[in-house]
Amino acid sequence: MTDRPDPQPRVPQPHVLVVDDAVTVRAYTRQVLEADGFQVDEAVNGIDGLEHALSSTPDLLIVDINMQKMDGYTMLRRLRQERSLRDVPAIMISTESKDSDREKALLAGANWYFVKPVRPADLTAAARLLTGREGRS
Amino acid sequence: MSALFEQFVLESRELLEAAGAALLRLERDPTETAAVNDLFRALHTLKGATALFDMAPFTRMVHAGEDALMAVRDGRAVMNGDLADRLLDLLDIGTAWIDGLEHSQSLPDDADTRARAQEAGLRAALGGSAESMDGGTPAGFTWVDELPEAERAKAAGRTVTAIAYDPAEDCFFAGDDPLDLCRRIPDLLLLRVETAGAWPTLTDLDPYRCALRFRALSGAPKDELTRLFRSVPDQVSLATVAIPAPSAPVPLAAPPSLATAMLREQARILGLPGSDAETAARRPAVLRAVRNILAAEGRNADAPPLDRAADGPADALIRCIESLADGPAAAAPAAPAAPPLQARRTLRVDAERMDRLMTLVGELVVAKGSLPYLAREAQQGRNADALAQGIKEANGRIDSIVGDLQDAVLRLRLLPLSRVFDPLPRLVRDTARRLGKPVELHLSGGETEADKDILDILGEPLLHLVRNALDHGVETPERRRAAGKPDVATLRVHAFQDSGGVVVEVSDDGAGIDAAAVRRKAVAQGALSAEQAAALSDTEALRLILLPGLSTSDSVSDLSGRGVGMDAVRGAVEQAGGRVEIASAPGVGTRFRLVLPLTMMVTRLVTVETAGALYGFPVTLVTGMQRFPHGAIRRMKHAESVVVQDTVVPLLRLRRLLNLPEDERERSGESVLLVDLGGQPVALVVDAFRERAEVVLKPMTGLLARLRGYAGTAVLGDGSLLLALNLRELV
Amino acid sequence: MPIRFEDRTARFEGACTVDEAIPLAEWLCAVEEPRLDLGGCTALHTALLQVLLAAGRPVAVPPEDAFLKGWVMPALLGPALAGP
Repeated sequence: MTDRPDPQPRVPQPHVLVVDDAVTVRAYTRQVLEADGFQVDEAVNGIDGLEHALSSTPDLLIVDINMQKMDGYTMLRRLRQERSLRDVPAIMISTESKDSDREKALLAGANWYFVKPVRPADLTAAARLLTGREGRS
Repeated sequence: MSALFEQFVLESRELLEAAGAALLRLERDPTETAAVNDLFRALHTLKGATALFDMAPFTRMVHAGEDALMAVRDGRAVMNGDLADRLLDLLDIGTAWIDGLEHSQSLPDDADTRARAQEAGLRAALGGSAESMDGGTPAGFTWVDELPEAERAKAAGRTVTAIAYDPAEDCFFAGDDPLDLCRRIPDLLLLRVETAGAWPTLTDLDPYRCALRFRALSGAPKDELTRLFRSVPDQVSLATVAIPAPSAPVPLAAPPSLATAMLREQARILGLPGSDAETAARRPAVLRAVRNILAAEGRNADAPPLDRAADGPADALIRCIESLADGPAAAAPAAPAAPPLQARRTLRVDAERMDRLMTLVGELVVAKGSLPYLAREAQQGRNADALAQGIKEANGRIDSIVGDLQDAVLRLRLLPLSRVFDPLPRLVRDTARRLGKPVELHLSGGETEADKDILDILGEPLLHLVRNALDHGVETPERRRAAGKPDVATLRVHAFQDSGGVVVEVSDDGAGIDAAAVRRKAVAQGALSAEQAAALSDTEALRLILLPGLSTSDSVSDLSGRGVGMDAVRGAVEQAGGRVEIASAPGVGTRFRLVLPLTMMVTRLVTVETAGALYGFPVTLVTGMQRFPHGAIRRMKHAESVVVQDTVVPLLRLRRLLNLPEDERERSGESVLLVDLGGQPVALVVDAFRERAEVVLKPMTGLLARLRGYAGTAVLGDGSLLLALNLRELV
Repeated sequence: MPIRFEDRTARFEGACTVDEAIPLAEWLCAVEEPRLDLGGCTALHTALLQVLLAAGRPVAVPPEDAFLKGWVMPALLGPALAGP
């Protein structure tokens, strides 16, 4: 255990944008994250997600892959072209468990990949890490 | 039920419906890729939703459907009637499960068996070619998926060859020793010895007939195994399958290991292939992710080396992050148990309607704003006339806003009829298929709106009418041809709104109903005497089929079976304050009309007749009904009054209030309705009293909405129109 | 002889062939508490395996042969085999 320098200023309520076309999944994700002190915004597809992201600059993106209008890959790729959004960490969540799907997600610009369904503790732990929020609550 | 679960039930229903609709489209036009995509997406989303809950059979079944569609989408399979049947079957099971889940929150006991059966059926429908499924398990190899995790542990995360070896019963006579063959499987990762059928007792067992079969996984390529089993090619099947890694994707329970895994992943992302632009695009998010992970872990001391490497070459940065991943892990923060999830209720409301409500509430707030001022004025006891005027104005404004609010709230409950139309294409398809009668269904007017309760009531009768039309109205293609009609029958379901409310028409171009036959039937059943029957017009005779007595199944031949359940249709419709109309021409077709009120918000009214029209007043306002002889009515200039219980009550005449001509009838006195207008008793002269009625009030629309004095309209059971009055506005 | 029937014990040795299936089945029916010693068995014919499975008698001495020990014994030890 090394000595502990002052922690970085904590983001008071990290803002997470959840992009998924399934209402139930969005509601689930929102509940889990809000219960852990995150502020959650929802978008229903890639285009909607891009618009939300551009207008609110979230601290973390949680993105589904298979969505109408614009899928998660495309959305992330576009997002990485935006100066204000290129460094926003992103988690992709999909029902696909194949390695190739994980690979595609990371290539598109995700920082982490979860296979649905994600256990609440895993989701919040990942969100805390990627938003730099201290794990100790 | 948790809000999330409710949401799941709601969404699943919608997805199943959407899938069903897309499937029917697809069956009509197998080349419609949009339909394949819609269907696929619906199932995919449903799969994701089911996976949130503990319902593996559901997920499994939907997954099988998704796989089948993937095959269709990729051109590996064709959407035919058989596959469509299976998919529809799958959707039906899903719907039944959702219904069950809503009540018991659990799947039925046989869910797993049924899911597996669906899965097997779908694979068979796809032609069962062993390696046809994209990424999924090939047909005949579902056992691979079903292996307990412990058993397939050796193969986890690998692409292996699955072996299904069903030795012939007499293989021992051919000198085969299947177990010995299995022993020679290279890189054997799993071997299961199974019985081919029910296991005999030792005494019944013929040791020389092979009763065993073998399931195995091997790390060796398929070719090699083909060679091994070359002497028994007919008894073995091989498939290359990918065995998923252990289901817990990453051991995440302890956050430090998640942090480490995430850091490693960030390093790996930087090493992923791609053009310079692509790799550059991935870097900023990786850097921020790594910084955040370090911060979350309280490892800010590790930040400087990262900052130094941040702008350097990729491999240096990768090494830096890798070393950070190996670095000291922070003390494990206990993952907090998720607090109980908050329940939230959702109501789906058209945004425009919500906006209207908001606007009205805004107006109400403004109108209310004048009251404190008036109160102050009153307190100071000044300016009584201006004060009264002010209060009157405020009252008028608020009154009108409240009326609009009532109307707006009523409209929140209106939903499009497409909801009850949705099951029809499927019903028609299935019934037509079963009966061998080609039918084309035309749906129109689905956007017509009605109260949610009306829709609930309308659903069953509508299904009934459609089923009856197909079953008994539409003839067989042979009979149609003989009658000079096209083979394909036409069934129209059309909804529209008219003054009476919502009208739904179900019409067919079938054989029609023979009114004479209906008369005979009614007489035979004793419902009518022969004379009564003969006196009925054809239209009246047709209505006889709505009687319960004629709802017997033996009426099929002579009545075209229209009697079946028609009394139930009538019952449901009338209960909702509607009515059923029938028109039919033998040989040409039949049209049923369900006329329903727009809403079900029941208001109790006292009804009166005046100048040939019906008017209603809320029961709550009416304090009495009395007849006064002419002599009891006092006249003071133009004002009239009567004495009721020692109180002089102003007398008004409804005809005058409504600007109707004076009542010229000879009469000894007046029918007077006593009403209480907020503490002010009023006597109202009407032409005649009628019965009380429970009606469903429909708000005034269009130009009528601006008319003062009217609260709405209602259609009575006999079809006559009634105007509900707002006396306060009239007086 | 690859299977030696000694009183209440059947001792499997070396490669046990299909010829042993009938004798084994008869012996298993006749002996009240048969003891099975597969210790020295290096190969077990499928016919013998199904006789053993049908008899459902415990194996007193498991085979040392890796294949039999690793893949066949679990079937012999396991609960009644499930059908398809």
